[in-house]
Amino acid sequence: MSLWKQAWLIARTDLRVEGRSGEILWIVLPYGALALFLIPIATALPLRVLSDIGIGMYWVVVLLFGMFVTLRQSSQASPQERDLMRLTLGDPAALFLGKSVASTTLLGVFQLVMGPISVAFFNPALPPQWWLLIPVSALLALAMAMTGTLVGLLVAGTRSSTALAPLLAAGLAFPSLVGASIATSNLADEKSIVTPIALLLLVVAVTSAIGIASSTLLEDQ
Amino acid sequence: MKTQRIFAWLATVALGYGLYLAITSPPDAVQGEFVRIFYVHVSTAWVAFAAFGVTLTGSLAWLALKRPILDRTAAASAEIGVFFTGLAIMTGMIWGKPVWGTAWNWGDARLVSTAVMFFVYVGYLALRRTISDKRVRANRSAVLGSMAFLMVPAVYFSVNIWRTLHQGPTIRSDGASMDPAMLAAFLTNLAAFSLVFVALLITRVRLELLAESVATDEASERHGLATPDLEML
Repeated sequence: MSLWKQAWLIARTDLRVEGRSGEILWIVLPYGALALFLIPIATALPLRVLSDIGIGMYWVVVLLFGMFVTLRQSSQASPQERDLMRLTLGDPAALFLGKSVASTTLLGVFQLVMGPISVAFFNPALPPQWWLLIPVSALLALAMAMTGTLVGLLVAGTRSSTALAPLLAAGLAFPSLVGASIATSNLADEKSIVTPIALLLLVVAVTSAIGIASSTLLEDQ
Repeated sequence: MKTQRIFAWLATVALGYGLYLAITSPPDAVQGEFVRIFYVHVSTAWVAFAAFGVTLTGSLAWLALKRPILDRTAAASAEIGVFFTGLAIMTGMIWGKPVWGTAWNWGDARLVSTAVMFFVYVGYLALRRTISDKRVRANRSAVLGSMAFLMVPAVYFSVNIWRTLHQGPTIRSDGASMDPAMLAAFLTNLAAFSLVFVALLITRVRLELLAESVATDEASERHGLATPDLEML
């Protein structure tokens, strides 16, 4: 079975498990939306300022709550499941790729839901070419999914993994957040977004290279 | 042991001389006396970058050669790097308060990205503490150590693609833009802090190997086994 076929099977299984458990739909999404409610209450900022920071708040919520998506419990394999995968999978890289694909899909859904909620609550001043934020969001989802998957594999089976994973993932996702933030401000100033797009592509390329190259090592528990 | 002592003495002497030059060098035309913090601040930041570079090298070397000392060197260097990153942030804040008017400025990409780099490497050290199996710990740390190093160019080049208040390079290819006395103080401190880093690294790796040796001896005594040779570590 080819690498991509194996990866697709893992992604499909992950998405099915998520579909049944509903962890993203019933827990992470409401939690993210609640955070968007709480920020204006905690900061007590005037509506005009909230409108200015609206898109930034959206990126922060996507970054922080996106970590819950990529590190969701339903994607974590038990030691027995890991042994089974080790025996049945031909290429360990399929695990990284498959989980990344599943997480990218779920992060895309998360962004699709949180986007309109952010617009409704914060009434942000969208740039004239706001639709260019769609490929930026897609690249951010891919970069975060790969980072989160890699971190998930790094902390699998360790003590304090639930606390450690967000610390590592949020830190390593920083360049992706910077890329999204620069793209937003450049669009608002009607400047080119080639540099932030290149930054996001670089993060995706480097993370996927490290993920694939280290897959055999990380399979070793 | 002899190498360790030589570097410790060299570092102490160089650091003393560097600090003397930093205090006696002329004040800056714009920053006045506050420029003296710059000699320590840039040197600590340089050591932090160098330390994370050693962590990357140690990690990649471990992946290729699987010699435990390489993993321990990577970890020891990360510890020193975290300490010096913290020091660089603190000295930057002390300098920023009188010069920028604020200790922390969100408008500066290098400041913010350095703080994030600090937390990424704290995570690296935390990951090591959560894994007891030495081989698994070394493998995973090596992967994270390689990935975390991406933060170093991200910090360095952040000012080129993001907002910043940091000044541009002081020493350029067309010649330094500093007073010779200030340049001497700057370069001496850079060299002195580099020696401090080497001395600390040698000491830390040696301590780690000794601690492992003692732990192995104790385990061997408990189980009545022969003590393994330290060279095997």
